[in-house]
Amino acid sequence: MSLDAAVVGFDALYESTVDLAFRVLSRMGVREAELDDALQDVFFVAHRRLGSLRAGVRPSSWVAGIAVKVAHDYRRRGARKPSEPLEPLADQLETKDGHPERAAMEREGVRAVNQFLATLSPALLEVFVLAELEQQSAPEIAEALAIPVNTVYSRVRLARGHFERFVEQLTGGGA
Amino acid sequence: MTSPHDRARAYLEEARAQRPKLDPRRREHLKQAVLAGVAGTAVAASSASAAGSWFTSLGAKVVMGLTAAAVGSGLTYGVMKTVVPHPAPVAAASKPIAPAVAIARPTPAVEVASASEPVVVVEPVVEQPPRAAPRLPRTSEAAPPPAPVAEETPPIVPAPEAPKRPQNEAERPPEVVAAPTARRPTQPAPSPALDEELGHLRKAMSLHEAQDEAGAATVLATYEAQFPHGVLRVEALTLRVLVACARGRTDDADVVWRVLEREAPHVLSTPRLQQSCARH
Repeated sequence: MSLDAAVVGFDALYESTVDLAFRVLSRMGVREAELDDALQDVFFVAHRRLGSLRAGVRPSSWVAGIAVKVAHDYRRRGARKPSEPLEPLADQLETKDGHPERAAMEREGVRAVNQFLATLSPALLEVFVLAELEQQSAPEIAEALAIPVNTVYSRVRLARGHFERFVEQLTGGGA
Repeated sequence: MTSPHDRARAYLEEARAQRPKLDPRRREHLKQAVLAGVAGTAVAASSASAAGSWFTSLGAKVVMGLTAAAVGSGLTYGVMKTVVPHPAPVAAASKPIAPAVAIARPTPAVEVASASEPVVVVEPVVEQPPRAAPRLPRTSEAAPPPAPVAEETPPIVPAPEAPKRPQNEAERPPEVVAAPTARRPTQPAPSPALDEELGHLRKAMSLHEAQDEAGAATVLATYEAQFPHGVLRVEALTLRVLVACARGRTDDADVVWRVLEREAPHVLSTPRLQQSCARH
């Protein structure tokens, strides 16, 4: 593929998926200070592999899969300790209607999710982020992560269980 | 009374609803950085596959502030990435962005299999994309309006005040920059002139690869007329040798070779020049 041909296709891909990649990287623990680096990595890889994007594969899933791998890479380098909360998204809240009570609830929920993400193993983290937060289907996740669909299902189920227990502990067993 | 199950669902819904977006300027800035890296690598890859990747080190050199990678240095398939300075605060992000940094990392060995020169691998990563270069023009916009320059290659006149480059860059071990967690000092942003220089060379390179040697010679002549002391002069001269050889103009190639002998003798040992028709 010529450079120009790649660029033309890449523009649309980038515009439609950069926010998704940003969220995936953030939720998977890439530090804010490294997000730009990581985003560049994601889209450089995407650009290079654009020709291998098969028909029938959703570009968003494909990019999300790349973002997951890049995020793992950054985490391996010690970008964020597992116990550290995910700073970026927790601090980026916008209240929907300006009501402080609502904002507080949202903050509580998002903070809880972010804290939970920081406790997950990489294998559970990636499926939880893609399935529960990005709401991608199991087959899409399986394709993106190159794992069997049944593995996706089982990991999602496991991560959900962990999350419910985490919330239970967080809220003292119920409100 | 809310059960933990319901509360967990409510939390998840809230988290899902949070879909921060990149600020448009940051988004565009990042895209340009990616495209710049892609452009540099694309040109470099084609050059490397031909014989040696001097043009790649050109890109890396630009990013490294023209210090780290010299033409024909061991840092084959030099890669680039710039954390571009953000012009405005990001709406979605509350923290300041990392300052402008230029980092060069080698690509994984698997990607440089076609390169003939040594490869430096920092660490195995999932996929190590090149560090994006500063804003580079795309192919479509890279070529400046062709100046009215005669197709014939003008005689080479050594620039008396050509900027001196370190002559021992080739001997220097390649600078390896590890993970980007440790930021390097900020490099000055490349000037528009530098972008323009790169545009000329990219254009000339692509013409040369397309075997449009006359076109390449014209672009190189334009470049030399416009940037007689350009920072990419050595690269332009190197390409000029190759173009002259491809045109069967050995005498021209010899002249340029002698200029390189004076100005940048370290590049003469690169395979590309060693295999050229120039007298050496």
